[in-house]
Amino acid sequence: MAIKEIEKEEQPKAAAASEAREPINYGWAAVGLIIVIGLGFLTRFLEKNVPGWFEWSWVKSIEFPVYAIIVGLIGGTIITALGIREKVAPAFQTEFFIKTGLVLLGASINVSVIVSAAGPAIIQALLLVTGVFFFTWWIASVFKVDHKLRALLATAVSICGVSAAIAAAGAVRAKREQIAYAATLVILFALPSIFVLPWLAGVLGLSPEVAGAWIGGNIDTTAAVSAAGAIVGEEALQVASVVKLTQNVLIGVVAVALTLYFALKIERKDATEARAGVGKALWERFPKFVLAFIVASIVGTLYLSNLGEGATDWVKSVVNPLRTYFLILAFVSIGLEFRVKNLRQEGWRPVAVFGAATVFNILLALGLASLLFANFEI
Amino acid sequence: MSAKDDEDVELSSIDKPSGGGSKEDWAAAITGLVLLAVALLGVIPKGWIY
Repeated sequence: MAIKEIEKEEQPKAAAASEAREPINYGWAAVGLIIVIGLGFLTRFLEKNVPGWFEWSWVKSIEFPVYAIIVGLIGGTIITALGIREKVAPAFQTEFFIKTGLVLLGASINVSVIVSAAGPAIIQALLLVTGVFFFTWWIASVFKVDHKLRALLATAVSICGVSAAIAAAGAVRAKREQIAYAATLVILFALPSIFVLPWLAGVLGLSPEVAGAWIGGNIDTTAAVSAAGAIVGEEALQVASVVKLTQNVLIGVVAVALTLYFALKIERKDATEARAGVGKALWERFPKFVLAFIVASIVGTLYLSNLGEGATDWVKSVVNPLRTYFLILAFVSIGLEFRVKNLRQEGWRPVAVFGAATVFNILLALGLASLLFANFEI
Repeated sequence: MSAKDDEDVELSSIDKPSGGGSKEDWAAAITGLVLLAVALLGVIPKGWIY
């Protein structure tokens, strides 16, 4: 059956699911937005003032993602205790905030960096996504994890976390509870990675470029990649973002491959019909904000090369703080969205699978980043 | 929707329950580029962003 037909056939089911969801209360969503923005300002306030309150040098080296995530986690605990989490949650738009921040980040990245990093980034992404996907698939089968959850976990850990899990969930027609579960696992593992990987990069003496490539290839969610990259520094953030966006582009390919796999192998559909609509499906899954990121980089490069020092100062004092605000809103939302209750439903096996896959991912990404980005300089 | 209701709902291949869909992509792309244009055209004064 063609992908399009599978989609059509499932539309009534999807529509029924949408109807079953509670409608968004825009009043509460506005309250949620005020909470997110308020916590964003609090983060900025803490980032600027906390270093002055203490003498310890390590406090002075704390970067804004750390404050943002801690503030978000505390905020999430408070709104849960108040019983308003579900009402205000529609405002926690991590994906929107991080993607907007990354488009703005594009203006600070010279287009030559994207062009020169694209080669090693594509090679790293292809090897990493393939290696980690099939390792996770294999180890999940050893642990006898359900087919659909296996697809979600393998896609989430190998590509880009929650977005990839959502794309895969549509492709394999997973259950909503399985998405919630995979998303929770992604955040559960990504949160410590934000702090541990930059520290490990320092311990291992990695250059900012290699550290960025390692972080970008390894941490599952794009927001967490940006957070960890920002902790290491500007160069690491730029390389990590380019590497991560390269991986994001592969979502479409994997989602379509999964759709075909489930149609042909699991549901035993006809091969010719199953292949129909692949091109359209690839475009539908392509992360369009990556195009805006590239446009922003071209605009930024032309702007800086034509207007000189004044333009550099303008980008640093206006565009970069604007970008930082969107990243802060994304990191605050990560903390606000985090909750562990979804993990209780599926038991320990998927957690073990995700843990093993994460360790494999860390080691493989470290090897590939050290090899492919050894001589890379911004 | 309660967690129990969730258990019986299967997604379709086009259903994007939150976050990762095309809408967020396009919204972020447009918002980012508009903000960039606004910033580069000098509409946002220096030092205005806290």
